[in-house]
Amino acid sequence: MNAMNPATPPGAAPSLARLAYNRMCFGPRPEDIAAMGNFDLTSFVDQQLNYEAIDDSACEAYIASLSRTDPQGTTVPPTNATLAEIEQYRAANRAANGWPNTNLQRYLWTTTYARALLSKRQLFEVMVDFWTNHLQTNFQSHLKYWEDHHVIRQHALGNFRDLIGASAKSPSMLYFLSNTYSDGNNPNENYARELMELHTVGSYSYVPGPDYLKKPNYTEEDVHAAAQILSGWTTMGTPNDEFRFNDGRSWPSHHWLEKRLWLGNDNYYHFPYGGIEQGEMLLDILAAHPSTAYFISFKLCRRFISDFPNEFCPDAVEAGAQAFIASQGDIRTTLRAILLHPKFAASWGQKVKRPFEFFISTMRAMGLTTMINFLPDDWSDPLGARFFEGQIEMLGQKLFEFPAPTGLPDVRIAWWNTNQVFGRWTMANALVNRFFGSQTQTNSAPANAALDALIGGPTTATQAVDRLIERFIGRAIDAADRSALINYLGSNNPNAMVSSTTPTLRPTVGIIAASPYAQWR
Amino acid sequence: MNRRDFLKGCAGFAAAAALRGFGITNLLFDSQVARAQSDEPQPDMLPQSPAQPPNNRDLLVLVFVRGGLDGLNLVVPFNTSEDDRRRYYNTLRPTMNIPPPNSSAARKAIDLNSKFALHPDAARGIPGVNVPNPHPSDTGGLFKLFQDGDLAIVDACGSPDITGSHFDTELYVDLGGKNNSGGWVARYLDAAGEPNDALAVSPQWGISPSLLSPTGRSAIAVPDPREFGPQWKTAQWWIPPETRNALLSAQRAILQQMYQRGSDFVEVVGQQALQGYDMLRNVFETTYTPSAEYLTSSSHVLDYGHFGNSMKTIAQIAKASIANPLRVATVDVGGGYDTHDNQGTVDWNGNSRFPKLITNLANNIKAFCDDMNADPQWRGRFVVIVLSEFGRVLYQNDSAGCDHGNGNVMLVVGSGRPFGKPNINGGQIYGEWPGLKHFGFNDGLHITTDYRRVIADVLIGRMGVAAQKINEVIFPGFNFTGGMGIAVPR
Repeated sequence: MNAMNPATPPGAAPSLARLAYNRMCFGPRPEDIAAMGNFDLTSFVDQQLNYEAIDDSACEAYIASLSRTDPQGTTVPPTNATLAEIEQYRAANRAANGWPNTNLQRYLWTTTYARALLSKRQLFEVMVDFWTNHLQTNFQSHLKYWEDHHVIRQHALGNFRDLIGASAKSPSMLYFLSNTYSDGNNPNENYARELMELHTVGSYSYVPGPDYLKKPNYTEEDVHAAAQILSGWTTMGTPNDEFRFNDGRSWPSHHWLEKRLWLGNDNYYHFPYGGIEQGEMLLDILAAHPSTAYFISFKLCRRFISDFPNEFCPDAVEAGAQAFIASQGDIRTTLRAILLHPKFAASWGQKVKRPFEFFISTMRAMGLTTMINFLPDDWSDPLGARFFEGQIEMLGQKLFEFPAPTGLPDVRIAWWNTNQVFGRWTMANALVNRFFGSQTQTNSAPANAALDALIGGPTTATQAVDRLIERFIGRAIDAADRSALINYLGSNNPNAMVSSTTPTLRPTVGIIAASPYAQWR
Repeated sequence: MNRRDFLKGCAGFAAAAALRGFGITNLLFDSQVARAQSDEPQPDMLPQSPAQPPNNRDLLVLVFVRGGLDGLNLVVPFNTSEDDRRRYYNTLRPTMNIPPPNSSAARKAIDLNSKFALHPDAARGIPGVNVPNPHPSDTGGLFKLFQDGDLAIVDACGSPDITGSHFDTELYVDLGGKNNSGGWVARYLDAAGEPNDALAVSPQWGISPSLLSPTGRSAIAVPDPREFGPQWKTAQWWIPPETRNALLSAQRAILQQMYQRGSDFVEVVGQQALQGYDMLRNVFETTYTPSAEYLTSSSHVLDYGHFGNSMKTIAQIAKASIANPLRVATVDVGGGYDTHDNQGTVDWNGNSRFPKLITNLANNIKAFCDDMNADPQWRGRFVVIVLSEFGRVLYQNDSAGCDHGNGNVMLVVGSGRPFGKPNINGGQIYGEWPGLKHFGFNDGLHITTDYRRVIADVLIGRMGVAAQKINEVIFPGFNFTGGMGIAVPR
């Protein structure tokens, strides 16, 4: 065991089915666990990748049933609204003295969390989260609301070049990385730099070999040239912040100036003409650059296999990059190569849940079928939306708010800290009390059918604990830890009959959901 | 201000810096953690009767301004040379210069040493400085500290590992050198021989990368002192305290059994959390009344009060009587220092971004000093180091901002000189001024002082670190040959 091959978590390893549900989904639901008997990884991956063929009408019907009435009494537009419709809403809500962007963001949380909880297109939802972070823009404006549907969800399992093309023209991105303000004569370099550093090639070569992470992919001159090439890609002067190409702000096409981009090569790329075509050509070059293939594959491997792909699964990174190159950036093909690589199946212990995954996987393990609607201002509800919003914030992964263009980190050391221990513990208890009836006494507890269904109760303390371990952890835990849980739940009688009215049951669920065992993904 | 606002500024660049695929491999440490922890008995109870403040080394507070602070508009080179002035004022920042002290502008820089001048919002409360939107925390800011001899400014500092990337450069600075393992602040504690549970705090959502420890050193994140620790309640979710405590202690007993195995990163951090809770819960359950006014109002600052609250939390912990004294605290400041556009200069209007960014830093550092110095024991016993990953380019862009630059100012804030117990030789500007015509990387200010030299000066002079530990332990890869005379040796 060395630093690159972390300790195997205590307790047994999970089944391959369980691992797949942990990594490609937001954890298994009870009905998933029931169906794990004849699991086949290849069919599972193919079924999830072919997401359009998965009937998701139940989830969509649930989302359609959620109220879109905001606290001011106006109606938030559906997530597929146009920029004009979003603007209309903002005007109406402002007229009602509201904060329309806050409402839009809260409704987008609701639908995103609801899909993570209920959608059968789980891998698609995981990839939406992946690209949301890869192409990070934050909710500084209503434009993220538009971008989520029209850019991220549109291309999450599509083609990479289409995705970054849509992102480059996305008003949210144009504002977030300042390109909308850029001017060809003295350009703003913010977007051009991050397009290369964070979205495509990476600052150093990701191609394995002697140049790996040594040879810069571009120079400062390249950044400046790329910024000039992309100048004029703006929203300025459009009624609803739609994208347009503004020749007047672009790098002047009538100049006979030649733009050269070296991108770490001995020969340069030549950009002789002005116009939007130049920017499209830049995106073509960046999307087809070999370092992009390795960088994207690296990040996907880090999402699905290990915090340390280079050390744990360089062969999976290679397989993903080759698939990316061969398919010209087809995201499904790339992902399939990675998920069916043998290193995936061998990767138990390599990933820890981030707060989003912890929150949703706990709810899925509880078998819940409703999501908290974050839109209403329900301060009067002690376990309502505002309470959970605060708890999610405390855990540090409030969706669409991260201010840095890197997107949120995807490695455990960036997440797992003392604050997480407390925050997840609190969140586990809060979810139990919100959804299974609030317990405010130590000597009695309210009857709750959903909680009884969760443990299959009334049943013995031993059986209840084993069932909860199966739901929340999915593998055998240390015998002493199991005994401690059983003794606590049954008040030192392993055969004591327990049900939702047993005062020790809710705390037991809280411990198991907050336990170190349940933090592994 | 509610908790939502308080927390909003917290995540920021700190976590982002830990993202990068390559640098991060330096930071992994599961096996070492397991080894460091496995054989050590876990103290159930902490020793009694603390001696406060720690008398063998000063408290180190590291303030990392994430995003690239525009040091040229904070410490303005208004009279360094004719060439500088002409290029700087007339050519490179035509609409974004700070009016010099001799200008007739209503708001202008305030002279430090007839060569450099401070942004007016770093001197709010000094007579003669025009103060729009006044606030009780306007007590002279950085200028007063400089006047008092408690602020040393080091110009043209930076990292030789600089790239144009925030995230790479921040990480290299956090590591104290591109190829190092773990954060340099954690290695300082190693070099000082501090035990693994020496109290290190990040008063924010997560711990700063500079505190990540390859040897399993503990670091406690405190996002909000009012809600520290595991809870069955918040202000909204009320359960009678006796019920809550009973449920909590039952849960805790079993969770502690699970965590104390300490066989991997997840469990080790869990142990640290429970120990930290025991150590700090009494501190945070006692209402803290600071002895100075911090600035957290959203009409003045852009980080929802995060920085002001963080500094207040540090003072709260430092001044509390706890067995395990606070050794280091790290704060990551955000709120928009990456001023690519609409940077603003000195005006408090709809575009007062830079004034607010500077006011936040200056007023809260001053408040922290006043708060700490109110306790005579702390005078001359703490040092605040302020740095940023890089400065900004010399010339403005067409969107009224400045892109990523190179060299930058560092601030070393000490204490005690007005009380006859100085720990730094403040009131001076250190470093070799390269002149503005010598453009460095990215057309920013040329770097003439390695940031690590400034830190080393303080660590050796005030934190009891032997000079050879600088190159050997704290900053491997750095060739430290001598300090700058900033710290007053103990």
